[in-house]
Amino acid sequence: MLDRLEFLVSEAFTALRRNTWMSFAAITTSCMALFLLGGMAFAYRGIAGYAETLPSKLEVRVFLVDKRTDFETKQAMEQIGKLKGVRRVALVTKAEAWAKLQREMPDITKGISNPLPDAFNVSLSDVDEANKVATSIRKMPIVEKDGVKYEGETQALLSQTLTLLRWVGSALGGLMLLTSAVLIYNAIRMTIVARRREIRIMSLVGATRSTIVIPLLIEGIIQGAIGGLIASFLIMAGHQLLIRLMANFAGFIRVGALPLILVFGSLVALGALYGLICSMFAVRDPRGIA
Amino acid sequence: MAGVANIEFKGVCVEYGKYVRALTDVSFTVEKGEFVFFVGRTGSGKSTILKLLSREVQPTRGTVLLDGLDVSNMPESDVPSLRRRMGIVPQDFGLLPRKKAWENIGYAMRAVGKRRIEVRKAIEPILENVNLAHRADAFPTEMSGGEQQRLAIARALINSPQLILADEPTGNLDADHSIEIITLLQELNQQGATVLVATHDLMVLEKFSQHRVITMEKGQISHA
Ligand SMILES: Nc1ncnc2c1ncn2[C@@H]1O[C@H](COP(=O)(O)OP(=O)(O)O)[C@@H](O)[C@H]1O
Ligand SMILES: [Mg+2]
Repeated sequence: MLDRLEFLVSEAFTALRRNTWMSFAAITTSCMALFLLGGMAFAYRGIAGYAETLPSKLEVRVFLVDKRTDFETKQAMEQIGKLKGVRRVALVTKAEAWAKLQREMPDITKGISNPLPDAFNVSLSDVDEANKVATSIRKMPIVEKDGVKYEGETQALLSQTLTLLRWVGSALGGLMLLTSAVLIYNAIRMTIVARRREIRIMSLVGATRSTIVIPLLIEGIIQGAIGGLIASFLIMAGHQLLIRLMANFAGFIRVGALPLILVFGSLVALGALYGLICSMFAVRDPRGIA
Repeated sequence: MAGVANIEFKGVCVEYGKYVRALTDVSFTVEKGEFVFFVGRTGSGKSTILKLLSREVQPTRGTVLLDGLDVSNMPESDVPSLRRRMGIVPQDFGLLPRKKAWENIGYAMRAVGKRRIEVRKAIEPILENVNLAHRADAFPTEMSGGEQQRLAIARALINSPQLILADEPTGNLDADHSIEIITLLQELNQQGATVLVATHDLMVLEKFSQHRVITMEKGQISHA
């Protein structure tokens, strides 16, 4: 059994070596396809996860200036509470907000003194009033300049980003997937041509069809799997790059950890499956082989 | 075993495409253990007869029987086991140039599922059988035509076949080597195998006139 497998696998590797350039092209494109699709999937997963942690669409956050009296604070809360579309107003002190942030992101907040201001959490009863409410609040003197964060905007931006990601990712990834299908298929056909002597001999001495075909399938599987493996490394590198960029430009936006085992496992498995399917098409015609 | 019908062609016609008729209504029988020459000009249909037996070609009409088994209509999946019962020596030798002599044999054995240990044990006697043991490590390109032909025959022996099909085995050889090759096939015949040889080499026919000759002309048997 092992003896048999050894023969079949070594046949596949011989073919890969003889067919270096074609294999290289097949591996590169399947890598690009999997990188695009995989990268998109994991970015999507990350952003969607982030979107869930955001306050709901029905919340407006109002940051307050430090110099203000308790009376002013109370008065503002009452005024806001009376605005149309507002359900509830709550004061979140900077200490409370910081404590929450420290709980959620211990690594980022460590060793920093609290940079947050006091804030109101304004819950809306009606999303459509959000813009009006925000405009009214922005005029109040105790509100920080640009201190009205209407999270619905972020949400909208995120959902647009997600849609875009989905489209661009699927389109580019799909295109690459097609290209790599053609290239893997061609690589296997080239192998069949390059190894026609061997295949003929095998066929003449009575080798079974599976003996002839399995090395070709293994070849396709290896090409796809290597593509997936390299794509995983690229995604890992891309993720690291994103973390650096985010750390430099956007201090507080957290880039989620990458589920490494999932990335490698799924991309390698997908690549292998894909290579198998492409090579199955390539060996479908038995007359072309015998 | 003489007297037992081993091979039987019944009204076999082969057409390659629409216009090329390779065989027209060919019928004959060969008994087990016979040594038969198929003779005729190039294009007369000798190779096609051998290829019908190995199922490289299927007849347009008629049947080809091997030990009573209908070779022409068996399913594709039975062809490998059919071929393991015969030793095919193709006209062009079909040797792998990047493999040494013994590797050429070993590769074929591995391809039909022999284990590595079996291969190691079998190679020596097989090469011995065709007088090539001393050339085991040579590449085909380093071998003479006669040696290459013997290597091709050796490879045909890996399944211990009861039927050997040799297509123009002396085609590229000088007289001495031709005699040597036919003598080798004759020995295999004496060990029990049925041997069919396609040839247009008249010198060989004269030298080995004790064997049966089937003469082909334009796809038909003109003399049997
Ligand atoms: N694969 C093929 N396609 C088309 N015609 C072929 C093919 N093989 C053989 N032929 C034709 O069939 C006839 C018989 O060929 P073949 O059996 O090879 O004769 P021989 O071996 O006696 O030279 C010839 O006319 C040859 O040109
Ligand atoms: Mg011929």
